[in-house]
Amino acid sequence: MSPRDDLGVSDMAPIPVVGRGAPGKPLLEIEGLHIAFGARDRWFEAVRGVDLRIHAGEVVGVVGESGSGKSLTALAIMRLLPRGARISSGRMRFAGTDLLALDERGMNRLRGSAMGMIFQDPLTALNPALPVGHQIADSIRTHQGLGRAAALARAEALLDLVGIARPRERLRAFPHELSGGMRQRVMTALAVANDPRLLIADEPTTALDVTVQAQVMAMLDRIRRELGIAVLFISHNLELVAEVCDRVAVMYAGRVVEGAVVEALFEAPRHPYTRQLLRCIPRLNDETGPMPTIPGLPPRLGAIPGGCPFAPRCDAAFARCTAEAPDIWRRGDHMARCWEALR
Amino acid sequence: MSPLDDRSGERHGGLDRPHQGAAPLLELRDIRKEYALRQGLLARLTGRAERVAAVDDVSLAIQPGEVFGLVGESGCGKSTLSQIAVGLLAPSSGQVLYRGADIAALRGEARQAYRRGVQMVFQDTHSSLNPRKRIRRALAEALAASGQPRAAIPAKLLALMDQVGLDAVMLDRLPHELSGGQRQRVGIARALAMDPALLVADEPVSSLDVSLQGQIVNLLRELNARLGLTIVLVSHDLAVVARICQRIAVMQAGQIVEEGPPARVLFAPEHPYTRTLIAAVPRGLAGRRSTREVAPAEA
Ligand SMILES: Nc1ncnc2c1ncn2[C@@H]1O[C@H](COP(=O)(O)OP(=O)(O)OP(=O)(O)O)[C@@H](O)[C@H]1O
Ligand SMILES: Nc1ncnc2c1ncn2[C@@H]1O[C@H](COP(=O)(O)OP(=O)(O)OP(=O)(O)O)[C@@H](O)[C@H]1O
Ligand code: SF4
Ligand SMILES: [Mg+2]
Ligand SMILES: [Mg+2]
Repeated sequence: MSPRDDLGVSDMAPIPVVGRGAPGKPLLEIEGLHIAFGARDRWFEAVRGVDLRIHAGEVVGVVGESGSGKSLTALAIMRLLPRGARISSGRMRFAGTDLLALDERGMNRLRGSAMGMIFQDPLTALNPALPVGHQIADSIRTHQGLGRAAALARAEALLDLVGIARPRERLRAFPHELSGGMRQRVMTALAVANDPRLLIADEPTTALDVTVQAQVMAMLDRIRRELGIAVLFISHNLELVAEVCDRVAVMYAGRVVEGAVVEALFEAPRHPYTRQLLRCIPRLNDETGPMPTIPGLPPRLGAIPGGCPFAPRCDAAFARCTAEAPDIWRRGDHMARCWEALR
Repeated sequence: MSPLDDRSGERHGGLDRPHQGAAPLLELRDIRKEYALRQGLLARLTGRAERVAAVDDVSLAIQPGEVFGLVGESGCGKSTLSQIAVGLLAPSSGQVLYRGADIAALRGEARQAYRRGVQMVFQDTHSSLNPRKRIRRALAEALAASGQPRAAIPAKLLALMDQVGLDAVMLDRLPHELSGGQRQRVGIARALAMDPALLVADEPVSSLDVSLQGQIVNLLRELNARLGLTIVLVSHDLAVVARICQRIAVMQAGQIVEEGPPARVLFAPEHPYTRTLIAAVPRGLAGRRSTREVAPAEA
């Protein structure tokens, strides 16, 4: 029996290959996700109400401030939050299954098979004491029931797919014997090894040069088209996000502050944070002056003031912004949490 | 005179300011680093395990006060070369000279001066941080090691945190209690706390949002211009490298294939690999493949 049968989702197969925002049920649906940290009587919320939906075959980008809760959101989907963190409220459904109601056994079957994740920090995600080929092959054997030789052959093919030269020899390498970008690609191979339906990619290309990055993105795009994989793509590389994503969510201080299809987000952003962020994109040109930045610091978690959390840094702020938390502006499938957008 | 005493004033990008003539601050001579490739049992038994060169005869001279960029293929040897430059890794052959002296021969006081004067920001953000040490202690120890008087340390800690855009509450956190980009900035703060003459920064801004990238790059520019901090910047981000480096080297498979000012290397590349690299830089919406189907969407 395949793990997907256990989930009671086998009747959904074959997965239709669809484009962005296809009608019908999303593969992953997150509503009002809150994640809190703390001990004893001191709690603070790092994620303060995130809504996200991803359909099969879709690539949804998550961008935004460092520390805004992107990785925590991703880890929550895999139910791999760090110690001390807990989901304080919210709903998460994956292929019809309530992720928060699933027991640990059920989650284990999902992780590494129907849901694959490329972790932001490959060194802590990989086992330092095992050759990387074994780690990939073990996962393939567990989830697909292949024999040792077949699993290793598949692992080798996967390393080749992510552009690792001499994949047969590299199967035997330990994580510390690989370069940063090679480790990142091993994580990618591991994440897609069992044909996941959802791939969560947390900064999957930070250690890759642009040619290898293009190769890895092309590989992901191919499996997206062929298998209808949905991808949650977390990245600070906005030019890359604009190239590969269908929709984009922008996070600030634990919330999605703007969401739109990619063209609308980059061509007609409605949230001042998005606008100010886009102005900071470094471009390959001959300028040598200082780089543009957004002055100021994001708010301190646990002490987020009333009103709009971006107000102290916002170039469009007005009186209402510090008084009341902004309502949501909506136009079709474009949303922004901002008073100025609502004016 | 140490480069830190050389307050030569503003030097915007310094593209027009060659550094020839001065004695190099750091020199790499014919550096080679080999590793045995892990092969099957047979190769091991017959003793024919192949060796591969992660760094294959690289020579470089870093002039005091310059910002030098190192770009290239993933796995081409940039981190290996960086670690050799800061003395964390011994080369299989070749020499590293700091202020003209072979670091392998440095002893006592001179060795200490090299250890302190050359600092590294690691690509892997966990490498430089002890998982059981709170950020405050990690940074305070670095400040103390650089000779800061005890009384000055609390204020210096706050100044450092501010420079890298971190809230002072993070001082009481452990490394694993930070986001990827927050930890990366602690790594930068720790290296700067040592008040180095040479900073080797291996992908220091890869996990930062573009606003923070700008802030860190501006900080490095300013330290370079104001204090003459010499910087070796390893980065996959060609736009960042173009912005602050006076000279860059492009590496492929353990070798430097092209070297020169960014205006030449990035805008009139000669080597085919450099051209391939530049052609692969993402181009935002303009780079979207026209083949992608467009269907109605929802937010
Ligand atoms: N174990 C922890 N204890 C306390 N706070 C934590 C812990 N882990 C994360 N945080 C805080 O939660 C917030 C969100 O972290 P998260 O890792 O999700 O950020 P991120 O958006 O992925 O940022 P980056 O782009 O820098 O990776 C951060 O401000 C971080 O400091
Ligand atoms: N301890 C080791 N044992 C064996 N091989 C190693 C070891 N350390 C590095 N290598 C190999 O040396 C080569 C260069 O690695 P290095 O980390 O210097 O690359 P890099 O240019 O920094 O790449 P990236 O951009 O991906 O970080 C790689 O092929 C790597 O596998
Ligand atoms: S609500 Fe006000 S402060 Fe917040 S982003 Fe909009 S304009 Fe700026
Ligand atoms: Mg993160
Ligand atoms: Mg590296």
